[in-house]
Amino acid sequence: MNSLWRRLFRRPLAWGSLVVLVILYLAMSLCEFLAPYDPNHLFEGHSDLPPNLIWYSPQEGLGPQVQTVALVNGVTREYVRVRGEYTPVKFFVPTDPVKLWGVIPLPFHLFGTDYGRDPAGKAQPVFVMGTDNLGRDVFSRILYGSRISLTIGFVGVFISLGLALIFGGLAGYYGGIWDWIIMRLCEFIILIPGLYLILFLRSILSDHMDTGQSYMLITVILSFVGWPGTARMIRGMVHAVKRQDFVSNAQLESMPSLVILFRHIVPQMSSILILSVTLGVPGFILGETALSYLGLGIVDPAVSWGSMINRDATSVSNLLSFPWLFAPGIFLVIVTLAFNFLGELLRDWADPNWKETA
Amino acid sequence: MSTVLSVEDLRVTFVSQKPPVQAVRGVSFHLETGECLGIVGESGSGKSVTAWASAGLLGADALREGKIVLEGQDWAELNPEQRRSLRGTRVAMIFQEPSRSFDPIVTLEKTFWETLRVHRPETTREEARTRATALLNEVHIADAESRLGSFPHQFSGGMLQRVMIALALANDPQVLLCDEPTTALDVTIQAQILALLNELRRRRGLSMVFISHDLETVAQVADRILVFYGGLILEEAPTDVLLSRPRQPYTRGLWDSRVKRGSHYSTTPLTLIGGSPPDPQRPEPGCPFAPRCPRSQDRCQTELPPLEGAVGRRHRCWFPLEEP
Amino acid sequence: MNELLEVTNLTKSFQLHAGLFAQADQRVYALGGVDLTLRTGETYGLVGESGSGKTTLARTLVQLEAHERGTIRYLSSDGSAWEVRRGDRRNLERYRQEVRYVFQDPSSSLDPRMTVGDLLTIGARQRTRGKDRAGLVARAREGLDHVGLRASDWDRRPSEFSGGQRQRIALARALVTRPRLLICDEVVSALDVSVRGQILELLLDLKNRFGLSMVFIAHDLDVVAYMADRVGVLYGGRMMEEAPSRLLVEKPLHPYTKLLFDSAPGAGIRSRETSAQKLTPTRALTGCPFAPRCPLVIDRCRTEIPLPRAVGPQSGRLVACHRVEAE
Repeated sequence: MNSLWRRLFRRPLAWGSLVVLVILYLAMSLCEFLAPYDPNHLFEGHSDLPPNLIWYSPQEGLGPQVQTVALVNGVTREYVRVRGEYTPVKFFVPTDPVKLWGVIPLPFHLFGTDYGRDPAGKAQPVFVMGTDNLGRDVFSRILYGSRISLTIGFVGVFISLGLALIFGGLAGYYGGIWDWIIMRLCEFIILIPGLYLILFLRSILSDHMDTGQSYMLITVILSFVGWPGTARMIRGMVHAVKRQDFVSNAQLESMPSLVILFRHIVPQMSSILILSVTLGVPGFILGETALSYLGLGIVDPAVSWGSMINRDATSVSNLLSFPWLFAPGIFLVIVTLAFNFLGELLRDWADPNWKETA
Repeated sequence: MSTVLSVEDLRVTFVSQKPPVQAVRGVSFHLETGECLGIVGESGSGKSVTAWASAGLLGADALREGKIVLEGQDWAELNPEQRRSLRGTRVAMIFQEPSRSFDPIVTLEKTFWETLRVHRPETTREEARTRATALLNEVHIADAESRLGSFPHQFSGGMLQRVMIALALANDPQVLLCDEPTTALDVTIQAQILALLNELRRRRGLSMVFISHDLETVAQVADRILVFYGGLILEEAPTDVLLSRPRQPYTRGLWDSRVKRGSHYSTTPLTLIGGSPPDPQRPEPGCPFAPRCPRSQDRCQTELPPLEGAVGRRHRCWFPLEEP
Repeated sequence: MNELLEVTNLTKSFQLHAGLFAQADQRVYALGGVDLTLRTGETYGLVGESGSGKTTLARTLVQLEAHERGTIRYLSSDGSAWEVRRGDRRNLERYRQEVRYVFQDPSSSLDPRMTVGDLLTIGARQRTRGKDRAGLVARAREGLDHVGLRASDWDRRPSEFSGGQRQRIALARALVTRPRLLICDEVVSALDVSVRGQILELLLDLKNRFGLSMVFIAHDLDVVAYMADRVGVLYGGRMMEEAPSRLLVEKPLHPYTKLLFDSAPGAGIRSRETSAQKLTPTRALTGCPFAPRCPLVIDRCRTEIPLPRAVGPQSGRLVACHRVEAE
């Protein structure tokens, strides 16, 4: 483990990736606190508003603040800035009641404005990344959306890796007829073009489901398509490890096969398994995005990065007029790259032939 | 007699690990024309690394100090091209695991052809065939001509070792470095290979360095023996002198701890060397054998004894065994 | 009955090619009907070169490989004798506690990711389903002490030990189940010369202390002759000669035994063989497996398999050779 840390510090890209991922997952877990607004709150008169956070004005001086805007063309969503009207952005503003993780009541959010509590009614809401066509805060939506997008990877990887471990492990360890049956099953699933299988599975299931159900469904579908490849890899490794003397030794000690498999054989592959987790996670995130993009994944009012991209960033004209709506896409790219860089590091680390150079 | 290979104060450190592995810590010896020099030592004693360095085969992670002169040419002063031409025509090496030294999908004929072409690019396939047949006959492989089309896996370990010897001799080197050539083989085959090496040495006038962990094996072929331990030479002597009148307690221990023919547990207890070999990553400040030595005193633990004595009969010990 | 282990006509062959297109008759005959008797408290030495079938024999004795024909009879600690078979799970489990196999290379027979403590106790922990944990740990720690390791080694991993110490761990692991018979398969071959003696001495010490019987396998005839009371010489899956250790050293009778003695580095005599090679039989034998290399070979050796028979006035010597006269 020590050498892993040393190696991590020597690779700025992997190190940076780790920092980015830690920040994103922290933000995800605290999204009720960090997001200034409810992801589905409609700000009337603020549809398709570009990011409005600024850092300086002659009136308020240096500091985060928002300039008031007025809609001049309702069709093209053209806004003009109102001179001299600024709303300061404050930290720890008391706002509408939200519960952190649905349990702990939060008296305030990290930041916000006096919008809605200003007696003069002049205060403006703050949109760090603008709003969508219904006037919802994109930043808040990205934070809430990460709840699905960032976890679906892990849940999916653990389901598919679990399946792969069980089936690949059994096939590799017992061999014979079990090996044959499991491997043919894997080949069968691999042979079906993945996208059609996903579409097929999704279509035979009800499309009137709540968020939780469709979330689970998508994860299961993606895992089901993803496990055979990993299972084949694991089977091959189990095959190699089980010929080692220490496995024979364990057999002589009359250990049950499952104990041998999971205490002796699987730990030998742990570094490869860590690697396949890090490389698998972005795959699932992209898979969810693809499904949501096709309209088969997460649908309003639930929010995920994929559904946001599907809603807002699917036409070129939309992107040209309202480029900030592509923000979830950028997050997606960052997360995918970060996992890949981290996975690369782990791959080198797991490679027994890779010697550390001074 | 003249010196074909001389090694002066060779130090090899592998810096890729931390702390660095001090594989060879200052070794000097020379090899006379026509002589067979035996090197005996356990794993980690630096014997193989010394041989690899002598053939100019060390990798980039090895830090090499000292001087290795082969027939008047210093390895350090040669460019890679010159080194390549020296290997094969002047010095050749055979290894412990012959099966790992061959490309499994290339026939013997092609292997020989490629080896011959390294030094004589104009060699034709026909010439290579004739030459290979002669070489295989020389190492007593029956049916040499018909076996040229075979692949390495079609040979047993002993046969493959013979082929490797033939291949090493292909460009008529004067010095043959043998790194544990018999260790992976069965006893009966070991004896055959030793006999073959002895025969080739006589016929070709080869100078040979023979490395093994087994003193008895080395004693069968070597004229003079170096005893390696902890990256240092502990003793050097002509074979019969070394076995009958060792001065270093380690040499004595090594010779006495072998299981003698006809001894039985019920009558003869084993003579033991206690403890375990030194860690090349953390060498002792004193004599490397001091922690295991029955004659060790305070001085041995703190001060490294020098290699004393005349050339050909040297020992490294503060309190050497008496000459009887 | 004094026989701890009685092996008769043990036969085992491996298919050369596996799969649908394998040629059915291409088989490697690893054991061609081996008889062997081990008395309680005795050390039986097995010597042979690679391919002689000595490791297959050892692995068959603990049923890591199932045998095809023949029987292995074991006299259990409670006085009952039973036949060792793969299918007989209950007895096999007990058998494998009383008969422990020690592997050649401790760096591969010990799981590199476990601590010494785990390695010593994991097998028994499974068997007893977690009961009597304290007793087990105490016994394992005692075992560490018996093999000359320190109590502080309990939490270290195999990679932190030298080869000799690793073999000590492997022996401590075998001792945990209080075995009656150790099967030592080339246990000193992977070790340095100066450490080899220590392990041999340890084996002798354990044998004395616990009254162990032992099957000691090696390719070095001198070492086997030193360790064993009786020695069997295997070649081509058949027993060539079996004799009390001293008798064998004093006067080897079988030509192959003689060759083995002559070839050992300690012999000082050079082998007269210049290029003979060992053959791996892929068909059932029709004659003596050593015939192609034997200096005394006659036609009969190629057509008739010599069977082991008693030779000499002292009982206990068996030789399988047509050319050795019964005295």
